[in-house]
Amino acid sequence: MTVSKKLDGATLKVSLEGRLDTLSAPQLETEISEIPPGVTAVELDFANIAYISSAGLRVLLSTHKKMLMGGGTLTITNAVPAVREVFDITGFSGILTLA
Amino acid sequence: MSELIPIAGEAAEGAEQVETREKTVPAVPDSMPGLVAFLEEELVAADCPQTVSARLMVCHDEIVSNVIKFSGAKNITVRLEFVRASGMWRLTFIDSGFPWNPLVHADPDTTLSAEERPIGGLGILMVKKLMDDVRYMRDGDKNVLTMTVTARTV
Repeated sequence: MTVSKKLDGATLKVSLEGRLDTLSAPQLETEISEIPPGVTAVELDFANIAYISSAGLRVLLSTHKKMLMGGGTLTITNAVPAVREVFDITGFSGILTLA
Repeated sequence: MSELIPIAGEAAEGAEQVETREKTVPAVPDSMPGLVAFLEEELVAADCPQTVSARLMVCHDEIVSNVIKFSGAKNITVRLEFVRASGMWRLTFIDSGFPWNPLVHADPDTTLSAEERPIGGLGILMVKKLMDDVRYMRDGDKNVLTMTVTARTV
């Protein structure tokens, strides 16, 4: 998986490309484990994520909880239908902010 | 395997040909990249629709990662069967680990809020929801988990 990050004011924008599965989830976890000071919003661009497994969901949930605890937000943008389907069947659509 | 739902045409005396691809590897973490590449390449070569391919890849990730982490198996076999004409796709996972029927466990509560949710436990639920049919059997000293999906239902 390819990860590119850009800081835009108080928003950390992270673009992902590839698959978010058992192999790549630890990489994403590492990449977003340390949120820069002053960042109140994290946006993950999923436009080029082909699919997500439960390993990826674990990282999203832990990041979401971490942001909530700090009063911030996590937003998933541009999720493809296959990813949205997984969010729907696992109830993540009701937890995560999707845009 | 006689209790499985036949792939469309399978019983019709070869009216539609079932194609099979298979790979057996040691059930260790280092085998995962090769298995993912194997399945991805076979699905592309078979012109599997992206929507179906995504479902199969997710289920593959869930099952293989579980077998590698928890089963104690020495090897795992991943078998892909499909009928191009009817759009039926089947994955079978065979391992010699401890008896493990993933279908007997209760599903996690997907209505819990973020604060209440445990991290993890969703993999098997996803497999059950993404596939049309999922079956487990213990065959001698082997776990055999088979799942089927039809392109028409995706």
